[in-house]
Amino acid sequence: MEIERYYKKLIASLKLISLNFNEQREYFPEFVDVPFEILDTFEKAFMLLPQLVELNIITYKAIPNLLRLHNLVNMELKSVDFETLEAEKLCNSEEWNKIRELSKETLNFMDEPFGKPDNNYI
Amino acid sequence: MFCIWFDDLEIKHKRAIIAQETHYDPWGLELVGIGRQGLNRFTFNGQSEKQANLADGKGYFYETDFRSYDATLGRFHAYDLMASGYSGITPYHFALNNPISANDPTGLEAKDWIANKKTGEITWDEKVKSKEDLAKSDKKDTHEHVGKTYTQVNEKTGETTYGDQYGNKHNSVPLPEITLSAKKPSVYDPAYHASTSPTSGEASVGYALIAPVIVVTLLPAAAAVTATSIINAAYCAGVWVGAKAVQFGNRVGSWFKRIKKVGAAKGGGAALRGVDDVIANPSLLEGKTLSEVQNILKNTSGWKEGVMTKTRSADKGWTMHQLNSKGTDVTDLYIQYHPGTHRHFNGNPYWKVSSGKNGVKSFEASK
Repeated sequence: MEIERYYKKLIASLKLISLNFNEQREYFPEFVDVPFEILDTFEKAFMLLPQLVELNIITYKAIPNLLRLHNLVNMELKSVDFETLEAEKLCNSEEWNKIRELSKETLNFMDEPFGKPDNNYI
Repeated sequence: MFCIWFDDLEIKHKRAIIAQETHYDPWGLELVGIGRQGLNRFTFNGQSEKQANLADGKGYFYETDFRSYDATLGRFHAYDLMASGYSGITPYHFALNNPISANDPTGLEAKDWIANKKTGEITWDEKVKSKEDLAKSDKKDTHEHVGKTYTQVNEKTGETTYGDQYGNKHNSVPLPEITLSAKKPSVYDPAYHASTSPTSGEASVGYALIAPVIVVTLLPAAAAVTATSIINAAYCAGVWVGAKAVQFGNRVGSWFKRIKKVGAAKGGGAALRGVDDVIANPSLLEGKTLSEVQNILKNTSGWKEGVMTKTRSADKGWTMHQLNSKGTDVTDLYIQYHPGTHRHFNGNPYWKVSSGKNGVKSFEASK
């Protein structure tokens, strides 16, 4: 059902963010802006979060991290470098690595394993 | 997951011939002006047989399993056998006087499917006849309302389950929008001649069918399809699936259930008329400009338009999100136009479509 799919989308977006850039780019066709799509995948899943929280599907411990991730992702999207930096340089920056670490920690809080995201939910 | 890669594959779904088309208001009254008359009398609700009014020969009523129903009055002609359970309402009512959210195809009682929120399992509940019933029941926290019928596609196996209005589950999907009847075209039409002719058995029960035609050809572009995209293509074509086409659907389902989508499938030939067409067949957006799509999709009810405000570029793109029935949350259906940045593919724009259970797909756009 929809809620199950929303949850899987959130997990897939977290797993995607956790990967290194070479792995991340494999999930997208060549004609898209990969850095934007990585972050946008999470942002789209984040919009579904209220419905998941309402049904107690997300553990309380994971919620602050999801909010932090949302803030950091937004800061990246609005950063002055975002439109100008090359994809590889941008996605290997200190800020992106911080986002990766936070994403892994969130998956841990949600008792979800790291690994390859399910392509059906990205 | 087991994957098969096709390097040069395109699948085309050709529309069958529409010999009869019937439109209704919610009560089942025919909207004759926009339909196309035919000989099939099993029309409203799928199995209600249309009968001429014996009194004056001008009007009509529908014969259901238990009672006859008058769509002009919005009332059954006979007393409801289940009336004891509905003391607050006339025993001649149709669908609790609310045909928008309820249905009564048999003339007996309308019950619903509900889904377990955790497991996703969908079950038929004898006690639930509406969303309100579920809200009052002891399952209100663990289940959500699905409706009189449902269609579910298993993301992993590609198998489809359809729950009908009688509580039965089927492994194929009926497509209820348009009823087709067999009628030989006056000119040669490959769609007709390539399809299986209807048998006399089908004609005798009023479902004379022309099966949709699938053509597989080889193309230079890399493409592949999923079972669900095929089913959606069939939905797009608005074809009624009867005995033959159900078999066809099952064959397609099992044929494609091991094939994984590896790229952008080419458009299935259906026209872009609204947001439902995009969700059913996202590849319709391929090569389209922003203004072309906006002109068709703007002001779609239940959808919210916006821009990709989080990017800093002057052209902020365009998004369209579906809202839930309360208008408080988005669903996972959306359409997005990315205007392009210098760092990818010569800065060309592209479309992204999330069609829920069919996943997210991207297509190149035109400037």
